Amino acid sequence: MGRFTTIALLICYLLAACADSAPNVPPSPVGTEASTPYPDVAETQALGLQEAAPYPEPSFSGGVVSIRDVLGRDLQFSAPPQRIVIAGKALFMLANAAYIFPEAKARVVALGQTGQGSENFIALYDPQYEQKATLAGDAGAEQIVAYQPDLVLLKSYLVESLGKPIEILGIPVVYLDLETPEQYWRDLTTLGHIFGQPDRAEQIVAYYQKKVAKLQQVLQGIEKPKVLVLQYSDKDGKVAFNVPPQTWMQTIMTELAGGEPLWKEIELGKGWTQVTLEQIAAWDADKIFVISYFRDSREVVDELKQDAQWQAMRAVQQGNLVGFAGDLYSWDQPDVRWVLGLSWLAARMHPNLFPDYDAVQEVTEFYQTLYGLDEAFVNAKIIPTFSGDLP
Amino acid sequence: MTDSQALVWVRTNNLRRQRMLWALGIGLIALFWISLMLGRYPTPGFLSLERLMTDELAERLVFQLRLPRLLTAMLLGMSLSAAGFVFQLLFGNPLVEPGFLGVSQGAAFGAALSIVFFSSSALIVQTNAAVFALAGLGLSYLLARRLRYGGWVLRLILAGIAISAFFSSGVGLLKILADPLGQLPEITFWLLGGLASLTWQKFFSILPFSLLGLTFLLLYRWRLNVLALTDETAFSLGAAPHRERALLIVAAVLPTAAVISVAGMVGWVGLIVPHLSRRLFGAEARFSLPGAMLIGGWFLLFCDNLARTVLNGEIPLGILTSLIGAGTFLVLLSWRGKQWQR
Repeated sequence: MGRFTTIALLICYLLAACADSAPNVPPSPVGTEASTPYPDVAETQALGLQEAAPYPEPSFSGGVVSIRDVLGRDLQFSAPPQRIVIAGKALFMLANAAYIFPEAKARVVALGQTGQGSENFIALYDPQYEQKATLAGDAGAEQIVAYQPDLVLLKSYLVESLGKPIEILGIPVVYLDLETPEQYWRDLTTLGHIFGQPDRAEQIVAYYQKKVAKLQQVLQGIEKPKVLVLQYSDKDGKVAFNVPPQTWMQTIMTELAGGEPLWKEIELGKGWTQVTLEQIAAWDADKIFVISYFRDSREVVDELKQDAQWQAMRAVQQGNLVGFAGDLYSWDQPDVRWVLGLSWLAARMHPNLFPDYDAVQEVTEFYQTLYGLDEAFVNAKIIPTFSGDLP
Repeated sequence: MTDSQALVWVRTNNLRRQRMLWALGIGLIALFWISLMLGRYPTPGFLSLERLMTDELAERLVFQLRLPRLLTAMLLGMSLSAAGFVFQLLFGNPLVEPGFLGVSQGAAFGAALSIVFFSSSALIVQTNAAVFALAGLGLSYLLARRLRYGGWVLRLILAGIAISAFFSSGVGLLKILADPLGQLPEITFWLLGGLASLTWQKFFSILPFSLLGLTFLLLYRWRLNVLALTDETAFSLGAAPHRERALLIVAAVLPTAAVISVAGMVGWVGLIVPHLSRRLFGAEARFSLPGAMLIGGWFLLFCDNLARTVLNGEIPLGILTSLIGAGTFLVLLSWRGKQWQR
């Protein structure tokens, strides 16, 4: 019996050793040499932002587009992709970024859920939206390949679970992050090359950088208020308040807007961390901003103001409990609208420094610049969806 | 009934069960080929042979994605069913399943630990899951030896429950620590089970362990009947009950750990399929163990076909096996109830 077991185990290990340890993915084509990193490092440092990962500018040579994605792989395209699928969960951030390029309307053939709550910008913006296939959040390679894409756009965290099976089929996948300002600048450039619009990408990145730079200029040397950004959740009827981790857009925006994020000291995990009312009171913030993804944060704040425990807090007494602004999507997220959230947050934290802040004007400029939408569209479709502390 | 009549009855009955096994086997091969051509490309339904011969993407889809996936689904069903069958027989408890003895929860903890702290690389997650699955078994065994309450089977069951709870709380803690954007969905998908990310590499990495365990169980199934008896009776029939049972448990856990490491938690298969097999083939392991393996292969192929073809998103396999498994369980219970009434 013992001999049999030993022999069997040996066979088992030998067979296991024979299994190919290299990923069964076709080798990525080697692209052209990396040249200029984007965005400019010196400019990034001057803005007080973290340096983006080294990233070469995509190049064109002999009709071939070479793009390096966030995983550092060079992908070559002989022609601009014409059948693009955007897949994964909570992909409205990715879709909203892709649709900055008008070519997306014709070239995106299938995409996941692009709404948040009952709102969906892509459905409003893209007249062909109804003709496009809607993928479930957990669509696998089998479901995606049914739309015969020549390119799939995914967030980078999906590389193992979804990206590799798609690549095995010979379909190129470009991974994007779109989680921080630096990643936005880098990934918008990539999207620009995918849609054959590098100049437009440059123009959009310049718009973002100009906005951030302008704020930083005004906020230089100011005294930072102690700020709390809380995400309100009443899932399953249980009210909870959560603070974001240090690396997330909400924390980055608070710092860029000239605030001191109080929650940085207690980070427990890599996601939203629930905090008690006792902890919120102990922080004694100068200003509290409340985010709500599925209800108007203005309503949430009105309810909190009626609560005796919240009434005892200094920020509430001084009128500094504020619902985070948003339109179709809350502006605190790493969505293209983060730049709107940043301007709004800075104006709310430092009203004396931004006396001329006009949310409607900012929003109109944003939608005109990014999506080419006119004032009439903004007035009819966007402004009525305003939530939080907005007019 | 005279001896000769009894002998004829046994032979006829065995012949009938052999034929059923052949029918199940041939049916499984047929279902496998049907499944290979079934999917959502180019439209939901069957892929024509003509398209397969002319469309490069269809060819890649079938041979690079569906083939390893379906083979793994069969291995998964066979391994979980065989392990469930062996556990139910050895522990004399019809409610135990392969995840018993801390194996499933150990694998889940290992995978989650890897996703949160080490790497989401498939190979590392898979290795960690398999190592912790076996660690779950080892810890349950060691704990059972130290318990001072009840017989060996009861102690093993109690130890398994305690170790599973320990790993379960660990998974809960890791879920709190996980990044909700990347890591948490990965852990959740892993806990719900699925074969969407299956590749040839993953299939070949589990094949040796699964084949080794399943072959051993098949070859050793004659002894299972003896080892299901009390220690004294088994010993008097020439078996070394403790040693042989331990060997069989390891042989059952090895393929289970391997398949769980790539497919995640897929529940109910190891609980229901052995019952179904015993209904069809009787209690004798000589027929009912291969029967359970074949039915397990059928069940998983069927569930996986639903998982990848019904919606334009992947339905987690664990949800389907639980749903269909629970329904089957209820039917089995009511079926048995009628017998009792008779």
